[in-house]
Amino acid sequence: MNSRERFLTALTGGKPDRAPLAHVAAMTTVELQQSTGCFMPAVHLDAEQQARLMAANHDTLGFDAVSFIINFFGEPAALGAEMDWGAPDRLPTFKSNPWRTPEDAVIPEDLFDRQPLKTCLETIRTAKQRYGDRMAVLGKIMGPFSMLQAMHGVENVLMELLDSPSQIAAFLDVCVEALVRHANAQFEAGADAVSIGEGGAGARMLSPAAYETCLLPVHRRMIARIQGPTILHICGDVRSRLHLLAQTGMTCFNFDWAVSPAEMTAAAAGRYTVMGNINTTDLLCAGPAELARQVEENLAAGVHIISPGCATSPRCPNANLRALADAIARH
Amino acid sequence: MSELQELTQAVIKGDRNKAKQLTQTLLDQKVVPMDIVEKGLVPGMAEVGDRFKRNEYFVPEMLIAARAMKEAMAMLEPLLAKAGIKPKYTAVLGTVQGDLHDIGKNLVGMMWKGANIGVVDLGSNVSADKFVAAVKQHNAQIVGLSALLTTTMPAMKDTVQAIRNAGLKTVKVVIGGAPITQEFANEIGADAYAPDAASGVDVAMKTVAP
Ligand code: B12
Ligand SMILES: [Zn+2]
Repeated sequence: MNSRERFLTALTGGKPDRAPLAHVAAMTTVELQQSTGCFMPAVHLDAEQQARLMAANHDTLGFDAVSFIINFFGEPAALGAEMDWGAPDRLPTFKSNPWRTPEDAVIPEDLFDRQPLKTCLETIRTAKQRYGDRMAVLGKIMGPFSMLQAMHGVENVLMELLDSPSQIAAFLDVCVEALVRHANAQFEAGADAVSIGEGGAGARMLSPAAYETCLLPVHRRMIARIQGPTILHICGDVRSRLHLLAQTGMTCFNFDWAVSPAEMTAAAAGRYTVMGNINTTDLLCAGPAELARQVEENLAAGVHIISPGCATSPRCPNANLRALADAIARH
Repeated sequence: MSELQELTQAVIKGDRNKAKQLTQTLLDQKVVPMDIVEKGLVPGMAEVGDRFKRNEYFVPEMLIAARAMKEAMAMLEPLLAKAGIKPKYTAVLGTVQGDLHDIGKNLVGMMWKGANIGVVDLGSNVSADKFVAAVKQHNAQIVGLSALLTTTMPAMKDTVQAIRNAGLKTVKVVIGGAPITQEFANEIGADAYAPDAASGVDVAMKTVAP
């Protein structure tokens, strides 16, 4: 089995020759930027360089599936959010929230001619063409709740969820339109699967009841319209929401270290596959032995795909990330 | 239920209009402003913090409760100042350099204010020098540092170092944020760590008045 076959087999619940290693949240290192000569922030607007930098996650770090888009805020940036594009050791973030009322929330026809989305799609096309036979090429969209926080302000969204839920619902519908189109465009460009980054709906960010009434139906509607396998990521201790996740229709759930691998696989019960949950602080600060222990724990619990639990710091040593592939190979 | 108890409930429910209305009623009844703070608002924020700790409240509930308390406080602050009443302790609070996450930090600030600790909020992306200058300027007993990114944890270490190097021996450094642990606090020489905003009150009080 090559990396791509291994990943796609595990993603859909089949039996690969060994567990694949993948990432969906942002993952690059300063070391890899130096060795490839492709540096943030330039890569975010340069498909050729972005594809080269991300392929190093396979070639140097041994990842079977690579998420080819680093910048998490692509949709907000294309829709007018001002950006701080970051630095080699700093991921991009937004600086302004362009939507004040639902009337401001309009998705333009030329969405994919706008940057950085134009580059994102080009990166996936390039990656697929050049590396698609040896690794899985993953796309990435924001989750609707996270996207809305960038468009309308994090605290505004969280308070309006209680103050005026109908306004939030109206905003979310518009987000879903943009996100479905973006995900399907990524599949057309050759993505093998698309991840949905919903850190903004992390465990403490809204109650399980609010998740169930305000967001679950949105996730379900959105995922039903995405034409390919999806990997949903939500941060934190989501144990009180696990019973709801199967209803989203996602193919796979990317969980972090706040949920133990054994609890996660028990909750999934074969209804979706799971991917996790290496602690990202340990990827920065601990050593290969501790990371190998976490890989073992995930494998023992039957986690289908090994991955960092969340976004990693660009300061992580390559040796720590490489330790994950080595631990799987030893298993 | 007395009006003070109703005010406590309004804060817990995050009902800002009711909180302001009741504050006005209590002022009209000549209740001293400090009593409105200590017997009305403070127990409200304390309960909100406990509910968050128990996983009954989430960030949205915390935010609207903090907003209700803030708006009621805005009516009382000028009166407290006029009466020459100052909080017993002063804390300087901020998110460390390179880090823009301030929701957790803001909640800590509201809880501290709710416990009658004066808070000088420096915002987010705050350099070590700025923390040092503010501690000196305000004669603070407590400095609270927040970091949400593994990449900015080193900036927290630098800030603690800068505070110590500036000879500020008595100020207590309290740190927090999702990736922070007690171990990390020990490692960088902080005086205390708290996992959430409610514990942040107990911890801050313990470091200054053990
Ligand atoms: C909201 C958010 C944002 C907002 C911030 C808005 C704002 N005004 O704060 C925006 C969208 C701008 C943002 C940007 C980024 N973010 Co962000 N963000 C989050 C998110 C979703 C929630 C954080 C939060 O507010 N939690 C709620 C509060 C209440 O919790 P808290 O901060 O932990 O605070 C509590 C305790 O820790 C404690 N506490 C906190 N501070 C202190 C201080 C003291 C003194 C004490 C006693 C206690 C204490 O008390 C609080 C209340 O109980 C998390 C993921 C998640 N779901 O947790 C990611 C997350 C923190 N972000 C992350 C990242 C990587 C980024 C970005 C680089 C972009 C990106 N690629 O995702 C940029 C960086 C910007 C920068 N330079 O800082 C990662 C961090 C990974 C890591 N470990 O390093 C996370 C985990 C998610 C992820 N996978 O991307 N983010
Ligand atoms: Zn996460």
